[in-house]
Amino acid sequence: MTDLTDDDHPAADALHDVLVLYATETGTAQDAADRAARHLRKLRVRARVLSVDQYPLADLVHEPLVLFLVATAGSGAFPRPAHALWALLLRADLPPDLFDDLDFAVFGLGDSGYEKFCWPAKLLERRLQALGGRALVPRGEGDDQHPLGVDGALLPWLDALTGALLEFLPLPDGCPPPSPASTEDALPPPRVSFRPAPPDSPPPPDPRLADPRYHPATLRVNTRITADDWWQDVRHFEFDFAEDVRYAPGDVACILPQNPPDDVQTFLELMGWEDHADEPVSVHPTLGDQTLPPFLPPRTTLRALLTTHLSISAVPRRAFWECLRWFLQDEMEREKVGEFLSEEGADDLYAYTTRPRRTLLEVLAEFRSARGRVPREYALDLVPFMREREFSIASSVTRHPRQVHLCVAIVRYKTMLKVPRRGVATAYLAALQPGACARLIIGLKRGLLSLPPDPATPVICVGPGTGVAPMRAVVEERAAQGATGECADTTLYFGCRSASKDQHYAAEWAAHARAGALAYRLAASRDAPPGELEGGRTYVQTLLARDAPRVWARLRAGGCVFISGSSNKMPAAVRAALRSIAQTEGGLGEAEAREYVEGLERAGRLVEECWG
Amino acid sequence: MSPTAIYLPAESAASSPKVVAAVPRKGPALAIGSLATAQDGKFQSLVSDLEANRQVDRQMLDRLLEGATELTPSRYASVHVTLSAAEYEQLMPRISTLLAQLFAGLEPLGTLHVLNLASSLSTLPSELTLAGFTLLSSLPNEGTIIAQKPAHAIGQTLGIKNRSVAPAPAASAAAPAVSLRRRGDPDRKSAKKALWTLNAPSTPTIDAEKLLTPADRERPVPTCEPAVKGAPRRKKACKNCTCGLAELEAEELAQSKVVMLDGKIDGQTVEVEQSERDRLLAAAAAAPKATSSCGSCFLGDAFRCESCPYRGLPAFKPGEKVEIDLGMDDI
Repeated sequence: MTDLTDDDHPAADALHDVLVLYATETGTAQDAADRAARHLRKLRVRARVLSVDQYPLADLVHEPLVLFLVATAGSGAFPRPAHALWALLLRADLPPDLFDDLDFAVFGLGDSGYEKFCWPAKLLERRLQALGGRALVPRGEGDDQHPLGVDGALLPWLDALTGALLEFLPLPDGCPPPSPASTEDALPPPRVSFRPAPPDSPPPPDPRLADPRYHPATLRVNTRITADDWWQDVRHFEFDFAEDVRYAPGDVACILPQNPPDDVQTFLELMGWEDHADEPVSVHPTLGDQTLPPFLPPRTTLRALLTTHLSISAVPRRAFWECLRWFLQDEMEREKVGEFLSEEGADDLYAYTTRPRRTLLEVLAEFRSARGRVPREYALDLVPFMREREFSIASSVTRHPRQVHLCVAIVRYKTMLKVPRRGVATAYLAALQPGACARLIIGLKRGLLSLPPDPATPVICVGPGTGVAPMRAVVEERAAQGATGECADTTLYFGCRSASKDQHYAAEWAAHARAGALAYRLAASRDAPPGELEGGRTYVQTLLARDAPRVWARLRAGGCVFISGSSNKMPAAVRAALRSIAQTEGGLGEAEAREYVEGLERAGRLVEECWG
Repeated sequence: MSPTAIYLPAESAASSPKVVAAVPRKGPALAIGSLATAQDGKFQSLVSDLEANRQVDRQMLDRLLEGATELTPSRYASVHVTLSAAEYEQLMPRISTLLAQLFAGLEPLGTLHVLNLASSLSTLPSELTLAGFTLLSSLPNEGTIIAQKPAHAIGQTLGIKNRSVAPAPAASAAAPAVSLRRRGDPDRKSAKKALWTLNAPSTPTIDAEKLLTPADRERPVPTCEPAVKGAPRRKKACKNCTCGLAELEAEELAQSKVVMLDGKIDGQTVEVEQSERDRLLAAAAAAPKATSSCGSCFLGDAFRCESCPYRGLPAFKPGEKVEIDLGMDDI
């Protein structure tokens, strides 16, 4: 075992202390960071692995060596935890030698099916270089389309990094350089140990409550707002806080979902852990370079861990199989996992888990021979961490003090598996019964949108479907500000399929419009009268184009455009509509129009908050 | 207090947002020149421009640097510096001293105008920031940088005086090709940190996309290989699939969305696709006495063959009844 005790020599210590920062929204980049840290351990390099939003950014100028593992969010955007870092790096007044003490390496995670593949990783690498940083190895680009997924590029990148690092941190004589593939050639110790905790001590307070952004809340309203006979279940939620809360339109509510008790019990039984599930334990990290679930309390029980902190309904990642295989007793099961993990078996693994969205719980029902063999401590190595979900807040706190409203589509779909798939967080929310018992903790964080400081500035909201959530906050806040006039300064382009079935908050828009606080434009794509369909369906971008002179007048007056919704074709189509308006109404050429719309975005006057 | 800086809109709405320009307030001004700019007339023309509508004091750079004169604190609404390119270069090692003096001599919201700059003085903006100024505009091509003293002189706590001058970049070039580049200069470190953590919300931002090379903008083109019999099939169609796998997947997806409600649970009965219903019925009928000729059907999808009638159903034990909750299946 490599000894990583501190060296007295500060420089040598620094050499052995590499910072690994990850930026993730789904946890894949965190997994990759843990993987990189396990590999660095073989090089006798100690890694500090942190989410970039847990790291004190002020210290970054003093770091000698940083690895960045950066996922891609939305259409080429930085994951939310990296927004603060990126905002700092974008400042034009940074001197070009700011990072000339920094050696770094960037690994991006993305999907080459998207135009802006690994975009944040590319931007980050180029910006750090422009500020004097030196890239130790060329950027790695993990591609979801690769048969081995992220590993397809991660392992070669770690190989290259090994070569570069060994130049300054040579291994003792006679040690062969390890290859990343061989990093997983033995079962690593579990990342935590459990120690019995006194059974009668009160449970520690939720760590989230130490953060002033988090507040206890109770659910007061859980109402379906789509027609009963409509295919999609969209809910309006209202939460009450016991204290005054502050947030602005565009902010998001962070909610940590829980697994249903039945699922947790099934999991415990499949692992053979049911007899010890309720023993109070304190959790101690044993491997300093492996991450832990966010908000992990110091004392808990295995059942509580599996309810709140581990995602047993997630589709298992390669790390799950790499851990599970050490415990399988059955020859056939072990062989199957070996196949799944090989390059040739990658397609089979994809077809078995990822494509049908098969859950870890369902997988364990088929690979049963590890039952009773896995020490409980490995729960945190087997099961991906539960992640907070962020929902755009649909209310203005000026209008609804001490409340947060959400507008959420409940995720349910079918795959080849006969049991329907559900979204973990939305199923949790949908099942909550309003009342004093429905207690949870909600975090209120900054989103991407923010209202212009002058209420007279025109605002154009484009929010089809549940993308309307932040727009409701905008409209309510501006109505409360009294930003009304002869011609409303707030325009909402809402899109749905059917005006009578899924036109969220229709009555409210009508009331705001009557009060002169809103110009409301509805695109109901499937309601077109017969004969009108030849021109194509009506979407929000169709209405924008129809309103070209009106839209251009507002842009000329310094107005803002907010786009929110699913990051499918809509945001791109809305941009195209704006470019076309700049051409027809503003007389700009094609390139000028493109530059104009990009300029709006850089100036913060065109903001997109979209999700995949 | 009225703002000193007047933000002019960009000349055309079509152009990208430009750095702002500032117009000095008509309070007392200080003009700073040098031997070179006094000789070539730039200093005089600056002074006469300023004198058109305000009181102007004059100073020579040398006198300030040598400490031969001290500026009255918070006296000037604006300070204007005009030197030759060579004099700016020579000034750089001592710039922080000068900026500290000018900062003190300016009233809150007073502006500093550095004129006729050589474009090579790229570190001046960061020096200004370090000295406590807020950058209002930097137009390196036009040779002028305008900075402002904040309304509340927070800059005095930020200003880092007497900090040592950064070593020339040559130091790193001379270092071995591979070595972690660490310089222990604590002054420089704290200066960097002050710059890096400076919180100025109105700071202009760069267009990072312009940093990307054409190669950066590329992405891997997924290869679409036709399925070869006997070879392992690529089961995930690439985005621009031409080999027919995407159609196959789409077809599978369409079939998987067949609506099926279980009449046993809540009394609803709904039509399902005939073939699917037959298959499920057969599977359910077989379940109470479930047997398997291959011996793998019980084990679950991981071990079932492609044509297994139980595919998509959970694993079960031989002889066990296959139970599946389709009651909530309402999509």
